[in-house]
Amino acid sequence: MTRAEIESYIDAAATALRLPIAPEHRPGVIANFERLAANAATVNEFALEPEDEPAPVWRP
Amino acid sequence: MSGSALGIAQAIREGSMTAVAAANDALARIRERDPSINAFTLVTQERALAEAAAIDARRARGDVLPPLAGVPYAVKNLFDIEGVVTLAGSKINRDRAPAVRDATLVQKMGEAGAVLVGALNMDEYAFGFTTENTHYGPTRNPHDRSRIAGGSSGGSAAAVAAGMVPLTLGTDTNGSIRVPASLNGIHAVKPTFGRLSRRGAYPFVPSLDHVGPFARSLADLAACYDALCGIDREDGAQGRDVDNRPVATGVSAGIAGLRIAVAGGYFDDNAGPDARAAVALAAATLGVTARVELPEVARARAAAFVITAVEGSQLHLADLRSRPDDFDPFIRDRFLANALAPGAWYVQAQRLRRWFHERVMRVFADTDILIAAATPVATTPVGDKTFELNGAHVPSGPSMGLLTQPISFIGLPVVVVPMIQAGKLPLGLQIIAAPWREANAFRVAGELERLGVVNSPLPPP
Repeated sequence: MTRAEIESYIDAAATALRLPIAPEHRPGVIANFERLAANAATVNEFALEPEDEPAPVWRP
Repeated sequence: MSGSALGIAQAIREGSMTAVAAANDALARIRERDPSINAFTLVTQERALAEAAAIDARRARGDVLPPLAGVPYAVKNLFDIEGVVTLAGSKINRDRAPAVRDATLVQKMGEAGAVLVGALNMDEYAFGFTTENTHYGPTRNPHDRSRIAGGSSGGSAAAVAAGMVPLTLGTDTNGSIRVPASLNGIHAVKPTFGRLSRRGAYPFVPSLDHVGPFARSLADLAACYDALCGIDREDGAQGRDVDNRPVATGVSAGIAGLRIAVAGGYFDDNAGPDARAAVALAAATLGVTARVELPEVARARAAAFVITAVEGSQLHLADLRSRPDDFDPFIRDRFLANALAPGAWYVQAQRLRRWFHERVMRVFADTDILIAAATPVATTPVGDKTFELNGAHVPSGPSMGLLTQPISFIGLPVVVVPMIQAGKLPLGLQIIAAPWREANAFRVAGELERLGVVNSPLPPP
C-alpha cells in the first residue's frame, strides 16, 4: 500500500470502527499500520489450499 | 543468602528453617535488591506471612508437607490475586475491581505449599519484549542495571535472576517467557499451548497466550512445572486428555534415544555471534551434528505478528475509543493501528498457522528436539530503540522475539536454559520439543546441565 492509500484506509476503517484517531497519534498509527501491512503482505502472498483451514475449531 | 526452591522446601520439612523465616528472608531481599531493579509492583507481605505461618502450623501438627511448602514465589501482575486489582502492566486496569479469587496457577502454587510474596512488572498488556513500562518504570537486568530485563515477563525473570525469590510465574505469547529468561540467564519453560490453565491470567492474544514458570535451577523449574500441571475445567483452551505425568524424575534420565537437531536457516540467520556460539556449544556438548531448516519461518513469524495485532488490539477497543491517552505511549499507537486490520488478513494468518504446523510436524516425525538460541543477542541498554544484528540495525523491541515467535506460533513446548557465557552477558538456549513432549526438553536440559555448560550465577548485588 502507498502512504496515501494507508492514510485513506486508516480514516475509513477508523470511521467504520468508531475509533477516533487523534491528530497527535496519527503519525504513530500510520507508521505502525505500515509495519502491520508489510507483515500482512508477507502472509497474504502465500498461496494456501482450501484444505488449509484455520486452526480454531469451535467445540459447543 | 538465597537458596533454591527445593532447598528451602527441604529445610522447612526437616525443621532447620521455618516457613515464616523463609518468607521474611525473601521480603528482606526484595527490600534490599528491588529498588535498583524494579521487578515488583506489589509486595503481598501480609498474605506471605499468613501462608508461611500456616505451613509452619501444618508441620507442627505432623502433616506431610506438599512439595513446595514454604517456598516464596511471585507472579507477573496479570495473574489474578484475590483481593488485588489485576494491573496487567497498565494504568487503565487500576479502575477494575479487585480479583475475587486467585488465578488457577496461583491456586496450584498454594496447593503445593508455596508462599506468594508479590506481583511483578511487565510490558503494558503484555505487548512488548523489553519491560520498559511508562507507568511503572523499566525493570532492570540484575546482571547490568543499565540494561533491560526483557519482556513482557521482565519482572518475573529479574526477580529470580537477582535471587529475590526462587520461583516466579509469567506468560508467553510470542516470547515473553523465553526472552526474559534468556536475557537474565535463568531457566524457564513455555509449555505446549494448552498445557497449563490460563484461567485468571489477563489475556493478550487468546490464540497464542501461554503461561509458565521461571527458576534458577532446572530441578526447581521441573518441580514447579509439575506442581502447575493439571486439568482445569474452567479453561476452555486447555488440551483435554493430556498426559500430565511429572517431568522432574526424567531430568537426569539422559538423552539416549532422543533425535536432536540444530534449527538452521532463519534461526541461524537471525542469531548474532554470541547466540550462534551458544547453540554451537550446546550441539558440540550433546554430540549433535544434524541440522534442520523449517520452511517459511519468516512468514510464520509475520503471521504470528498479524494474529497478535488483531486479537490483542480488539480486546482493548473500548478503551482505545474512550481513553487512548491512558495507554502506555510505547503501546498505544500500535494498538490503534492494529485495531484497523482487515479481517481477511487475520484469517489468512490463521490458515497459514495450520499449514506451518503441518510442515513442522513432518520434521518432528524424524526429530525429537530442535535447538536454537532464545534471543538474537544478549541484553541491550534501557531506552535503546535498535540493536545491531549481523551488520544491520534492527528495531530492538520486536527483534528480541525473532527466534521465539515462530515457535510459540504453533504452540510447541520450549525449555530455556542459560548457556555458560563466561565474561559475557547471559544468553539462553531454546530446547524445542514436539507438542506435549515437555519431558524430552527437560531431559536434554538435564544433560546439558550435567555436562557443565549451563550456568545461572547470581549477579553481584
